[in-house]
This record gives sequence, C-alpha cells and structure tokens, in this order.
Amino acid sequence: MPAPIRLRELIRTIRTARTQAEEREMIQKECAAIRSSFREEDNTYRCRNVAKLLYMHMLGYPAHFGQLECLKLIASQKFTDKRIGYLGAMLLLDERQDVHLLMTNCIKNDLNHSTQYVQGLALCTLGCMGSSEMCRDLAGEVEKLLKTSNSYLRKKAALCAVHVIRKVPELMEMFLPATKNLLNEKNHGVLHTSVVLLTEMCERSPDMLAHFRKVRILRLLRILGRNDDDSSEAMNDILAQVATNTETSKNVGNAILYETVLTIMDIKSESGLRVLAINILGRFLLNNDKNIRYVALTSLLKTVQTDHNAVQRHRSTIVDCLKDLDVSIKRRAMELSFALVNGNNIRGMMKELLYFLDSCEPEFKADCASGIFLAAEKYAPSKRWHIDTIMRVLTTAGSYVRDDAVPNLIQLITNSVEMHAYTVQRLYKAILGDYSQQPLVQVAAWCIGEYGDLLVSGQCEEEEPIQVTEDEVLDILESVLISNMSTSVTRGYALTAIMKLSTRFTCTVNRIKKVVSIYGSSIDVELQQRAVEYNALFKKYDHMRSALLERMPVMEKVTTNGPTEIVQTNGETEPAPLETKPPPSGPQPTSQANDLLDLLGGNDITPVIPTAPTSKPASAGGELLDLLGDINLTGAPAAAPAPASVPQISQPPFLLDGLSSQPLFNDIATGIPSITAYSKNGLKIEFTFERSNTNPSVTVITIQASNSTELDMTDFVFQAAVPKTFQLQLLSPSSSIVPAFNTGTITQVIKVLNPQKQQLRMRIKLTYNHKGSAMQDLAEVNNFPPQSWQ
Amino acid sequence: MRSRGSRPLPQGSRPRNRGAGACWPREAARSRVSKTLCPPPALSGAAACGESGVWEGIVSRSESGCPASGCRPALSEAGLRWESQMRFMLLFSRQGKLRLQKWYLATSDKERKKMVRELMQVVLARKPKMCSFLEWRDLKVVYKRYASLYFCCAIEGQDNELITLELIHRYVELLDKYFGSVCELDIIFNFEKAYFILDEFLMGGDVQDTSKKSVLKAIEQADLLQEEDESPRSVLEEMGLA
Repeated sequence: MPAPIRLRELIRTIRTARTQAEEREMIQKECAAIRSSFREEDNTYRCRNVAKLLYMHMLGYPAHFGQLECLKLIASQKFTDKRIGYLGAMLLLDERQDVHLLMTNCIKNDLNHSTQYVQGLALCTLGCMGSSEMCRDLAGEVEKLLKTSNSYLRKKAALCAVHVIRKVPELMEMFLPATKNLLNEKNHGVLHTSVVLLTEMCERSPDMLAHFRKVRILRLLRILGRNDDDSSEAMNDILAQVATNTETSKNVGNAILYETVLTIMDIKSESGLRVLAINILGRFLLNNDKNIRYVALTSLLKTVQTDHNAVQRHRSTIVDCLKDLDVSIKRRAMELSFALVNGNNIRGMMKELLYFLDSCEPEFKADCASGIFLAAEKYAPSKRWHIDTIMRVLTTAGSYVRDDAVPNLIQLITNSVEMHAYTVQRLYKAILGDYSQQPLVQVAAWCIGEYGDLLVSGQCEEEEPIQVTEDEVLDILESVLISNMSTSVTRGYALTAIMKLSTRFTCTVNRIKKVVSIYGSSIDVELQQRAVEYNALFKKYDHMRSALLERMPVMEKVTTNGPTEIVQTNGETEPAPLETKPPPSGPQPTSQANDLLDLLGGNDITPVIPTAPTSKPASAGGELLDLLGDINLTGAPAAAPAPASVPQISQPPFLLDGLSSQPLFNDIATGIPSITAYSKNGLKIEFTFERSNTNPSVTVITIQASNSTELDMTDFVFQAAVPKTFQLQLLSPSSSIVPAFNTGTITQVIKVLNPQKQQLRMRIKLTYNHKGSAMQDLAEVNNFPPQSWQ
Repeated sequence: MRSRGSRPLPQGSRPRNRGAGACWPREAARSRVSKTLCPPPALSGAAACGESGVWEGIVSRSESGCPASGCRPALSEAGLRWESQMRFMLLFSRQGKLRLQKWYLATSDKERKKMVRELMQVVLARKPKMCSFLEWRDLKVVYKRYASLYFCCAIEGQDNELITLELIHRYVELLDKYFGSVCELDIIFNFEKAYFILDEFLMGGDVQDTSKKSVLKAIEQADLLQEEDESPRSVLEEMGLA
C-alpha cells in the first residue's frame, strides 16, 4: 500500500478546489483512504491521517470516525503521536462520549510520565474537556502535580484544578492544603494561575473568605467584598490607590482601571469611591479608543440607577457620544441619555435627542422615537411642549414610529381642549405639501376633521393667525386621498375627516357630498364602505348627521405604558386629562337618553337600534376602531341612535367582528350573579354583568336572548333606556334572528356608566317578527344585583 | 529573535509548501497578520509603536524573570484575573472560513457549527469603524481583525472586555514570533501548531503564563521532542523506499 499523502500536500490540494462540490469530492476520496488505513490498523501513518482528519473537521466535514484513533495515538509511545492524539481528542470528543472511560487511563499514565511536555499535554486535555467522572478519577494526580517543584507543571496543574472544581465542586477540599503555598510563588505563571484557582475557590465557598482577607488582588477583592461590610471598608483604600495611581497611557492600564471600577461597583464601597469610579468612566468617555468608550458607556448604564446623580454630572459627555461614528457606541449613548432624562433637563436633553433622531441611522429611529414619546409623557413641562415634541418626532421620523403613536397623540390632543386651535394650525402647516409621513398625515387628517372650524376661523393666540378657506382645507384632504404615498388607513382618516367637516363647514357641503359619492366606487373596500355609509348618511338620515358627527369627547387614559403611579410620582404632568372627567359636551348624552326614554314611552315612529359604533363615521380604519374599543367612558356619539337597516344589511361581517373582538372589559365576571330580565312568549333575555377594572363606575352588561318557541324570531331589535343619572351605550347585536328551540342566542353588549353609583334601573323595548306578525313589548328591569352597581 | 532556519519544522518546511496552486482566498491569506499587529491603534492609541509597544512594561520585565515583588509585571501586581470563563475562541477569515476553534465548555458538534456560522455572520457584517465588542446571545464577544483573519473570543457577563482584547493581541504576538511575521497561510498549513501555541498560552480559557518567552520555549522544546521521534523513522522510510 502506498504511503498516504502528507498533511500539507492534502491542504494544498484541497485549496485548489474551485467549487464546493469539487472540494467535497476530494475530501470524500481522502476520507475513504483514511478509513481503510484505519481498518488496517496501520500504526505508521495513523498520526498523519488523524491530522488530516482534523483539517477536514475544521472545514466542516464529519470526522467522528477518528475518535478511537485519537485514543490509540495517545496510547502510543511517540511524542508526535501523543501531541496529535490529544489535540484530536480535544477537538473531536465532547464530554458525553463513552470513549472518555478509555481515555482516563491513558491520561493517568501520562500524568505520571517522565517528560514534562507529555504531562503538560495530559493536564491540558483534562483541563479542557475532562468530564466529571474523569475529574473525580484524576483529581488526586492533579493535586500531586500542584505540589511538584516543576513550575511548568504547577501552573498547568493549578488551571486544571480550576476545571476540576468547576466540574465537581466538592473536590475543592482536596486542593485546599496545596493552595497555602501557592501565594508565595515567585514564578509569575504559577502565581497567576494560583490566583485564578483561589478566585474560583472563593467564588464557590464563602467559608474560605477569612483566609484570604489580605490578598491584594482586585478580582479577589471584588468577590470578597460582596455583601461584607468589614472587608469592603478595608478595601476602599486599596482601590482608591489603584484607581488613582494606574498608568492610563496604555490599554493594559485602562483594563486594570476598568477592573477597578467593576470592583468598586460590586462591593459595598463608600460613596466617595463610587463617585471616583464613575469619574474614571467619565474620563473613559473622552478616550480616543472606541473600545474604551464602549465599556465606559456599558458600565455607566449598569450603574445609572444606583448612582444617578454622579452619572448625571457626565451628561454632556454622554450626549456627545451620540455623535460617535460607531453605532454600538451610539446605541449605548442613546440608552444612557434616555436614562438620564428627568424633569429638570427634559428640554435640553430632548433638543439633543431630537437632533439625534434627525441625523441618526434608520435602525435607531424607532427606538429613539418611542424613547422620546415615553420621556415626553413622563416629564413634559407643558402640554404645548408635549404636543410640539411629538409633532417634531412625527415630522422627522414619522415613518419609523410605532403604530400606537397615532392614537396616543390623538388622545393627547383631544384631551388638551385649550390647545385644539393651536394644534390643528400646526398640523395643517406641517402637512402642507408633504404627505409622505403617514402617521403625521393621519393625525393631521383626524385633527382637521375634528377641529376644522377652528382652523378656518383662525382663532389662535399663540401662533400668528393664518387665513385658510374651507376650500383650501378640503383641497389638502383631497390630495391626501389622491396621493399615491397615502396608505389605505391614511385615506380612511382623510375621508372621515372630510365627512366630519360637512357639519363644521358652512359653504362647502356640496363639494363634500361629491367627494364622498366619488369614493363610493373606490376599489379599496374599506374606503368604499365608508363612502357608501357616509353617502347614506347624507341621503337618508341627514337629520342625524350633525349629532353623529359631534366632536369627540375627552378620552379616558388607557394605561398602556405601565402603571399609573409612574405618572403620579413625577408630579409634573397635570393629572387632569388622565382622570375620567365628564366630556365637554356634557349635557348631550343625558338629553339623548331622554329622547330614548321618550321614544320608549310610546313614540315609535323611528325604529331605533343602537348599533351606533359600527356606522359611526369616526371609524376610519382599524386604528380608530381600536380607539373606540378603548373608550370606557361612553360619550354621546356612541349612544346616538342610528338606522337599523343600514348596519345590519350593509355591514360586512368583518367590521362587526373587529368590534366585538375588542377588549371591552378587562376583568372576567367577578361573581356578579346574572339575572333574567325578561321572559315572555317564549322569548327569554338574560343579563350577565362585568365591572370594568379601569373604570369602576362602568358596568358591562351582556344580554343573551333565546327563543324556546318552534319558530325563529326575525328582525329582533333590543333597545334600552336608563334614568338621567346614568349613561348608556349599546353595542351592536350578534344577529337579528333568535333561532327557535333554544338552538342559539343573540348577544349584545350594553355599557352603563354610573358615576354616582345609584341603583340601576332600565327600561327595555323589544321588537321582532314572530309567526308572521310584528311583536313589540316594553318592560322595566329593576332586579339588578347590588354588585352590578355598587 | 528566532530566524526561520533555526525553527523546527518537522513535517516539511512551511515556506516551500504554502501558496502553490490556485485557491480562493490566497491573496488575502498571504497578507501579514503582523501588519496590523505592529500598530494596534485601537489598543493603545498613541502609545502603540513597535512590536512590543503595548507590552513593553509588562513583557520585558516578566521575561527578565525578576522574581522580587517590586518588579512584578503590572498585570500580576494588580492581580488582575484574565478571564472568569472564556467560552470559546475562533479564528476565521474574511471569507468566513474557519481557521481555528477552541471550545472551553462542552458543546455538541451540531451546536458548535451553528454558533460558529451565526457568529461569523454577525462579526463579518460589522463595519471597520465599530468597536470590538458586541453582545451576542448571553455572551459578550470580543473580536479583532488582523489582516485577513478575525480573532474572536466569547466571554461571560462579568468578564473584562479590555483584557480579553489584550489576550487576543498577545496570542497574535505569540504566533508572530513563532512563525516569524505570521500570515493566514501559516495558520492554514500549520493549524496544529497554532493549536499547540494556544494550548500552551491558555487553558480552560485562563492564561497560563504571562511571559511570551516561556510559552515559546515550551513549544520549541516540544517541537524538538517531535523531531527526535521523526528522524529515526524517516531514515527507515528512506531505506524502505530504497
């Protein structure tokens, strides 16, 4: 059999391969040769073959069939064989392999070998991949070598002992006597490895601490100082010395300083020392070396919570790091900057962060924008500043903000009643000629729709008044509708805004009608649906249009960004908009409830079904539906009556689904018993109750209507009215047919706002067709369980 | 300083062997790792000049073997621990070819491959201006590029990144001294030597010796032992062939 090719020859050949396939072919060929050589138990070339196998293994090819050969090499007498054998063992075997048992014996022999390099190989292998069984079996030999006079072996034995202790901690006892002398070592290598060993031991055993109090070693100090006041105090001086005396012109010096800082942070240091440490990090920030700046920022981030004031002193340096070229440093600097924002520096910091937002790479924008939103919400010095800031974000990084930014801003604007005129002007100016930032355009469209009258009247004290005509406003909304940069959602906002303006503008109603009817044939289903609904509103139900398009009430704060106490602790935001206050259009809902009561009193000319939310014009796109779903405070528009036929026939089911899937209430029934509100002629209506936990004065009632007769009840309409002190919102029913034989139910959700916690009373009116005749009934429900209103 | 001639190269001399035939990353592989080794600008800023720039204060003193506590090397004096637990060290080329892998924690072959592939992608995607550290999975990764080769260490949360960078640099210095102006091809063709040096320098992720001299001496001696093995056999071989 010819001698197999040499390792270097093989490497060179493999490197000539031009494609992956060619390389694979070469390697398969060689592997076959190596396998057959292994089978023939060839001793001469085993070493060469294993070495070649290791090369192929590095290229990613399987080499497990060489595992046993490695063991054979280790058992060989030749040093070359052992060297490659041990190397192969470290690379090819991992801990779980059974071959380990066989290896233990070889290693044991080699640990007692006469040549230190063979002993070294054995120690190194044991210290690298020794399993716990191996460690147990060989710990004795390692301990012996730890006491030898040969420093080459002693340093290796110390590190090997570290591995043994990591694997089998209870073996630590065995090494204790040997460590006594290790600290008096003169040889640097041994001294260093001994420190590693002692550190490992101390980390594992708190009992050992007493022995090593005097050791002047930083890492050791750090572990010793954890949770130990006495030793921490003793170390303060030493650390202060190291911190002030270390040469920092070289990286090693900085590495030592860094370790010192970590130590100071870790032990219970006195505050002066901690400030010193933070100042070291502050100096690091000015270093030319980006790596040092990076570790400084990382460490400051870790400590900013505990040593806030000390870190605050380096604020300007940290903010300067926002301009760094390195993105990793920029990111840290950004995180740290946000951590440093507080009520006192908010204006200055936001200026820097907004500038950063403007100039930074796209990957930062989303995080930076939401960071700014959060900080602004927490520390805004005034509402106007808050609105300005959010608007700045939307104009500079509009397309990067997260989805919830739009409803959040709308909510903020709605709740700042005195800012409406100002805001709508600013937004109008912002979108003049630039519709590219979708979230901005959406907010602007919403506000223009809502406050268009304020815009046209030009009443604004803070801004210099602008002259805008109604047509100009409509022009801009129409161009948003047309623009190919607008998304479907944005168009929905624009169309709804135009619709709302029909009640706010005086002389452009015809133009609005035209626009709305054009979009009745839009290919965008969502838009078309809206347009058709609005069109119907113009044509059939024009008398209700103004009530439906009423201004939105103040919205209740939805706590999405953590618990409310965050807001309270700052004391800088006015709590007013966050609390539930009666909407500005206060009298409205009660008067409508009155109307309804009147209606119920016998005046039944208009068939009324309170399916208002779905046909409500404000529902432009999913976002707004979400918004509505989140309103716990029932305002007038929601309860406003709307025609029964329109929603039930023309509403595609998905819209209803979208609504009924809203999280209307946050807690599942907390044990409020349900009642039977009505039971007559086979029709039974049950009420189940839930109390909202965001607003305790809201009771959510789910009605279930079932039919025990043998025929379906069709065109079923449920209506309800409550006394003036309550407010009521009826959501749309699940269907209008109550199937016969109790085979199904209609469910409908009623929300009752009961701010004075009075006893609940309700009048209900039922109309349906049964057995070919129209049925109608009135009833009063007085048996509400006390838990449902108290 | 060792000269090329005196270096033991038992399995055929490296300079003759390397570089023959076409190969993909040949040009890159030839460039001297030590080119970037001499001035490590990121390491020491202004202080870096000459081969021992960074190490002057430490290495020369420790190599002088002065045992008195007064002139201990700076690192030992401060008692700085090199690592708490290094997880692994990788060497790979700019083309994403693995050149060396050392694992200090038992990891299955499959997992190793996955981690190597993933980490290579992350590191190779970094721009030159970026700093040498990154957080990856639950580890901190410290990497540095020397010519066409990336040296990459994964360490744990408590570890000192700066010192890991020094450690990488020292390993490169060791390779450079051993091979004499080392380049990627040296490491490809003599990968086992690179492993031997690493194992003599680090064990379980901890530094065994702060002195370059003693590491290289041990390697040299072991190489000599290997030569003793080989020489009688090669005579026999020749006779057999004759």
